[in-house]
Amino acid sequence: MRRMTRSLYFLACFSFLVTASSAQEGHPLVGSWHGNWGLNATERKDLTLIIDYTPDGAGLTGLVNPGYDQAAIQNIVLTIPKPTDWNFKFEVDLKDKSGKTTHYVADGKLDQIGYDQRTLKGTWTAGATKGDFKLTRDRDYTR
Amino acid sequence: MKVCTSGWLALGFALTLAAAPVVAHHSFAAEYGSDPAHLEGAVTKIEWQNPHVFFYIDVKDPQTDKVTNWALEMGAPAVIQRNGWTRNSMKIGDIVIVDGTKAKNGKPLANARSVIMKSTGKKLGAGSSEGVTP
Repeated sequence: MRRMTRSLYFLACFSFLVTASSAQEGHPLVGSWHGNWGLNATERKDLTLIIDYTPDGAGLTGLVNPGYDQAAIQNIVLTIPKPTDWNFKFEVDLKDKSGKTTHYVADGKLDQIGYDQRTLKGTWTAGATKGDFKLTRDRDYTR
Repeated sequence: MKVCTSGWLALGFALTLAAAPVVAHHSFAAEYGSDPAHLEGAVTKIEWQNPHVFFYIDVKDPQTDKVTNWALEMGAPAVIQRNGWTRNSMKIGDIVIVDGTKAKNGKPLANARSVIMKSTGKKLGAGSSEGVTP
């Protein structure tokens, strides 16, 4: 009986460790995010965000639309005034097809924080122009 | 009875250990068909892990500007390192050209056979089940 109790205790501890280790991850914004942005519900463009976190030094860094037209994300800030509100803000300078650069300020909220495929939703402004964006963090094929 | 209970516990323990790798490991034929993949895009994520390294690229349709994020599977980290890969061979934002085989299920998933770094023209084998090295 004692052996069985010990075995069960060991199995319970091990299962807890396996669950806990697979649930561990870094900064909640880190990952690759795909979605779209636009002026309204019909005029949408695909959008990719890659966000990384370096604990010592650079902090949060990122790229918008990696590739030929990529741009570095500036001033990413995550604020959590209360446990249900995960607010973030960032800025980026994007070039259009003519080569003209526009400064965008994005403001939004991180939702579904407990899920791998959490979401980022919010609004953007570029001067007097305003629109919205919706992004979902990619799921790994290996998970 | 004690032995029997311990046996079941040991079996449960072994299955717990085995479950994760079994999910990730599979045969080429089970997942990939014969439809060739030729993709060019920007790297969005790299996962150096056993049993297979995965990387992801954004492929843009030039007609519609629609972006599809493809998952590309390579061999084990140790195998692709023998093919010349290092952790710095590919980074986020790099443009790559990938040849391989598409998944049977129609998802944007392919087994990579070779990877060309567009900026340098360097070709690297993917150490995958298809086995072609540069």
